[in-house]
Order: sequence, then structure tokens, then C-alpha cells
Amino acid sequence: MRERSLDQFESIFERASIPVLDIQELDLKRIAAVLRGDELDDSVLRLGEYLRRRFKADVRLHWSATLDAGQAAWQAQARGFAPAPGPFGSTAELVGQISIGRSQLVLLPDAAGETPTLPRAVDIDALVQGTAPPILLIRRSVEHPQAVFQRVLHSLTGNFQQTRNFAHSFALVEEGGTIVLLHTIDQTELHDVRDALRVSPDIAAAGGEELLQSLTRRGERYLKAVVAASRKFPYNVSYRLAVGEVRATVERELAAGEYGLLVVGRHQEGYSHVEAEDYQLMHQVRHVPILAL
Amino acid sequence: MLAGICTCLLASSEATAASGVAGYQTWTFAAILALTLLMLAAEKVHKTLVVLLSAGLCLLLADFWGYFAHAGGHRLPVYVEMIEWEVIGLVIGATVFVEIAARSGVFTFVSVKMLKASRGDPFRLLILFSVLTTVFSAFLDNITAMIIVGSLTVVACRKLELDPKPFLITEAIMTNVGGLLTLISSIPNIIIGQTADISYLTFLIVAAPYTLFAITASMFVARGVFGKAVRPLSSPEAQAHNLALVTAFDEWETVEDRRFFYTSIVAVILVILAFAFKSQIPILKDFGIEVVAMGAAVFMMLLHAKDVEHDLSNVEWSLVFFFVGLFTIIGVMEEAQVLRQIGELLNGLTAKAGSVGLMWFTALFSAVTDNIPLAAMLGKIFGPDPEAAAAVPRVQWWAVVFGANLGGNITPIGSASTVVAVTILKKNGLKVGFLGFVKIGVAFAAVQLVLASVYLLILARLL
Repeated sequence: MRERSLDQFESIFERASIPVLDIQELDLKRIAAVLRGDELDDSVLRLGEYLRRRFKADVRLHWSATLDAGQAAWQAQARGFAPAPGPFGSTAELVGQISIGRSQLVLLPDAAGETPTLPRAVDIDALVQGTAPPILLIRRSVEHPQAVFQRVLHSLTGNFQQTRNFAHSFALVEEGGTIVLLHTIDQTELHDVRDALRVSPDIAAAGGEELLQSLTRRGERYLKAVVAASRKFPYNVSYRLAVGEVRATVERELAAGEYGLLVVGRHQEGYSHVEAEDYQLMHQVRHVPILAL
Repeated sequence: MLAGICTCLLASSEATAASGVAGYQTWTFAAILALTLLMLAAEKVHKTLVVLLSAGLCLLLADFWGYFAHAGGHRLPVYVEMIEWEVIGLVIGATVFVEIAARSGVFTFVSVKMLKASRGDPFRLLILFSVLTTVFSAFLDNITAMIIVGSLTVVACRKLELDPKPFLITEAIMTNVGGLLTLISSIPNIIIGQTADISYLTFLIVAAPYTLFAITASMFVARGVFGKAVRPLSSPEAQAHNLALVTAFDEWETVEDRRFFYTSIVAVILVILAFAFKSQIPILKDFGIEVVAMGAAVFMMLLHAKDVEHDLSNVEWSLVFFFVGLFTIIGVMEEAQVLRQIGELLNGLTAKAGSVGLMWFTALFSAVTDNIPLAAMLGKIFGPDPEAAAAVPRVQWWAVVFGANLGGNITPIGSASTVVAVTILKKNGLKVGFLGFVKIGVAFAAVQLVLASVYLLILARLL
């Protein structure tokens, strides 16, 4: 009985011990801006210029082989960017250039739909798999770059191990801005697990509610850890916990909160690992820029 | 003690014959008592089984020699009178009450708060956790207090990269000091309190100043015994690092149901007030303290009505049956004049060495065996009936209380909390040998017993 009580209380206190995350302050010095012949290329240039000034960073301009080299060089010079050694003809070439340039952030235009006369030569999934730095996908025209980083929604659903790149999203938020951490407990997944538990009536009776409680506790614990770790940063960090369908919940929060940027995870323990929920968000949320960590 | 019993029995065999009990019968029962105590100390057979077997043998022999005049054969009600149901009622009521209160998260919540207040500094942590175990063990039973604080100590030390051994050993020792604080803090207190008719409030008023002195003195001992392991942090970086680690604990994570948590706080306060001011509350003053404890248990079960089966399963039935057997043995020993003989021996001891001597004797005896049978026996010896108990100098009762509680600090098997501390250490791959513990325990117990000796001398003048 003593051993059992000891185990019980030890697990209660382990649960109370929120993990201590160390979010390093990021010195953003090398940014890659990609031009694909996209209607959103201008927005990329504006964002690149804004970030160059804000962080005193070097921005390297990468352009698709389908674009005019002279025009790209002119664009680079006008904005104070350094041009890449040459154009890229494929996603693999772009990945190579980004890797050689040791870029810490990639700015990529991603307008809805293909332009038949102007193939964009970049496969988003291949880029996401192949590159290490976070990618900022520009999905709509950005007139005021500063507004993108005023209010940020950070979706932590699915991937709890994206800590490695946290520093990027935290570094980008404007001073005095707000970052909201959102964890959605996936209701579809919850239903699937409950269905599986129904095989055994005893487990099903006790398991459903406990499962939700356990997932809620786990999520809250992690969110609290991130909030605790971000106290040193000069902006407001809060968290929300929701139960529902992930994409719908994130879309609802985006609409209600007037966010300028959505952050999703794509790394786990240093390796590219896009969870299903993050993949959905990365491809289907079109009305705000998305930072894929 | 056993040799003393023999000497005393030899010297007074004539007196026993005069009381109607043959000398050989007293001898036989004394041998059974000695064997029972030896088996309890050896801990080879479960203590409940030992006392129940011994009680059965005592009853058979007592019946054979005609001690109990009863008609209609061997029936339970004949033997029931020997059992002190007040003590058993108090143990059952307090156990259920405390188990439910502990599950509400009240105690785990306070523990985490204390951890955060320590700022992760080893010496602050030692002081705060020592105070915490002392206070917890005053309201909870010693085992539960040690399990709660000990579990948090292990988790906290893991995070802070500290050796948990100094903390756990000090906590176990402080649990026994806390066991002195109130009438229901430990079983010997309950037994002596019932026998000597000491109220909850009187007990608290007399014991609290000593407890305060003992905590302070023990902290100095801990600093001396454990040295570097509990040294305060000096570098600002280490202080900041440890502060960040303990700040990350969230006390609300230990609370599952906030409504139950808040109602439990109110219930705990109400029950403590009921215990403390029972004699001043109109209706309550007519109730025995065991009835109040049982009422408190039912009250808590009402608050936590969803799991009554589990709540009641927390009653330590082995302890209840242990008491049934123990009180039966003591009842027979009283009839067989064994207790009177031991009483004469102890009266000789108290006449020569006073209450201080009695306390040291009780402490040394408690160090090697269970202090419950000792307290029960001494209670019956000094106060076989309420009139006799009232005639005993108050300080003599306090000598038994101090000795029985503090003696458990000397060896790892001396008390339930030291056993729990050693179990936690073993579970975490750390070992402390019998002699290793004794070296530390003696340092603490010596200071605490010397302090208690001085305190008893002061009490002798005041009471």
C-alpha cells in the first residue's frame, strides 16, 4: 500500500512539475527572400526590406530561372539585398542555395492557384522537407509588414517538440505585440480512440472522460511551460486550449482574433516532421501568412 | 526491560499469591508478554498476527485458570470490555478523515507552495520541508505526512539535482517531532491522552512550545550532520537557475477537483476547531473525541460521496485488529498481575530517575520496537482506572508521550516515518544502512531528548 501511495503522489508531483524550456533569443542575421514570378513577389520584397531594417540582417534574393535575371538584380539593389549567385531552376537547387547561404529564415510567396504561363518551379512540400530554417509563406498581399508581426497565433497542436525553432516565432513578434498559443485537442482523433476503447465496455465507461482530461492536462502543461519560458520577451504571451476539429478551430480563432500571422510546427527533435494537423493548416489556411517552423 | 520484569517478578511472587493469582500463572503470562514483545521487535511475523495469536493464547489460559467468570461459553461480549474502543474509534475516524482530506489536494497544494517558497535553495528547502512535515504530521498520520512530503522531495531533488538523502532523513525525524504536537498526531498520544484525560487544546498548548524548540535545534543539527549537501547557494547564477526550476511547478496541477479542494479546506478547519474547542461547544462537549472523529469521517465522506467504498477501504484494518489483540493481552496481563509487577519496577525507576528517566527509558524502548504496545502498557500500568490515572503526576504522562514519539528517531525501524523514508531512498536506488541511519538519528534524537528533559523539568514545576 505504501509503495502504491508513493507512486501515486510521485506521479502527482511529476505532473505538477512543468518542464522548463529554454527559448533562446534569436539574432536574425541571414534571411532568404524568394521570387517565383508570383503576384505576391512584391509582398516578399516589402517584408524582406522591413526585416532587414528591423534586425539589421543581410537579405539574399533567390529568383526563379523563369524570371528575368536583370530585373531580379535591379530589385535586389533597390532594396539593399544581396543577389544569389544565380537563379534556381528547381526546388532542389533552391534548397541548395538556402543551405549554402546559411539562411535563418526563408520568405516565400505562395499565391493561390498556378499561373499557367508562369510555372513557379517550387514544390512547397519538397522545400518544407528539405530546408532547416523556418519558412514564411506569404499567402496574401502584405501592404504593412509591421502588422504581420503585431498579433501572432501559434498553433501547437500535434507537434509538441518544435521547441528548437520557437526562437524564430518569438523573435519576429513586434515589441509590445501579442502571441497567443493555441492547443486544439483533436476531436476526430478523440472519437477514434473512444471507438477503439468501446471494444472493452469497462475501459470505455471509465476511459472516455479520463482520456480527455489527460489530453487537456498534457496540453495545458506544455502551454504553461512555453508561457513560463517566454516571460523574458517584451510582449504578451497567453494561451488557449480548445477541443474540436483542428482546422476549423484555428480558422475560427484567426477570424475572431484578427491575427497577422499563423505559426505551425514542422520539426521534431531537429528533423523535419510535419504532423497531419500542421500539414492541413500549412496548405489550407490561405488568408494569413504562415510561418512553418 | 525483560530482565527487569524477571527480577521484579521473583521479588514479588508472594505479593501475587496474596492477590489470588498464583505466582506461576503470573510468570507464565509474563513469559508470553516477553515473547510477544520480542516477536514484535524482530518483525519476522506481521505484528497483527503476533498480537492476535498472543491474545488468543492469553484468553485460553486466563479462562482455564478461571479469571473470567462468564456463563454460556466463550462469547465475544465477555472479552469486549477489555478493549479500549475509544482509541479504535479515534483511529478509524481519523484515518478515513485524513485519507479523504489528503486526496482533495489540500496537502499536496501546500507542499508545492512551500517548494516554491524555498526558491530552490537547499538549506531553505530543508527548513521549509522540515516545518511542513512537522505541521502535516500534527494533522495527518505520520505515514501519510511522510509519503506526501517525501514524494515531492524526490521529484524536487531530481529537478534541482540534489541528493535527497539528507532531506528525507530529516523529514522522517521531523515527522516524529510533529507527532508530538496534537492529541491525534500519533497513536501513543491518542492512548495516553485517553487514559490521562488530556484534552486536545491542553495537549496542543503543552506540546507546541517544545515542538518549536525541537524544530529550531534540529535544523542546526541537520546543518552540522549533512554539511555541504544542504549548504545555501551562493552564486547568483545558481540561485536564478534553481528559482526557475521551482517556479515551474504548478500547485494547481495537484488538485483534481477545485470544489472538493475548497470544501476540504473548510472541513479540515472545522474539524480542527471541533477537536480543539470540543469542551466549550454545548452539544459537542458531551461526545467522546472518538465520536467527533467518526463524525468528521462521515462528514468528509458526504463531501466525497462518489467513492465511499474506496474511502472506507483506507481504514487500516490490520491496525484495528492489532489494537483488539493488544488490548486483550493487556487486559489479561492486568488480571494476571503482570502489569502491577512491571508498575512497581517502573515506580522504582521514576522514584530514582524521575520523569526524565522514564522518558529516556521509553525512548530507548521505542527505538527498537513498536511504541504503540509500550504506550498502551504504560497507560494501563500507570492508570488502570480513571481515578488512578488522575492521581498520576501529569509530567509522568508527558514523559511517556515525549519518549514514545522521539525514540523512533534513533533507528530506521524505530517509527513508521523512518521506515517510509528508507523505503523511498531504496526505491530511488539510494541506500542508507542501519548503522548509517543510527549515526544520524542518534545526533538528532540526543539533542531532542536533552531538550525534552529540560522541558519536562520545567513542566514538573508548572503542571
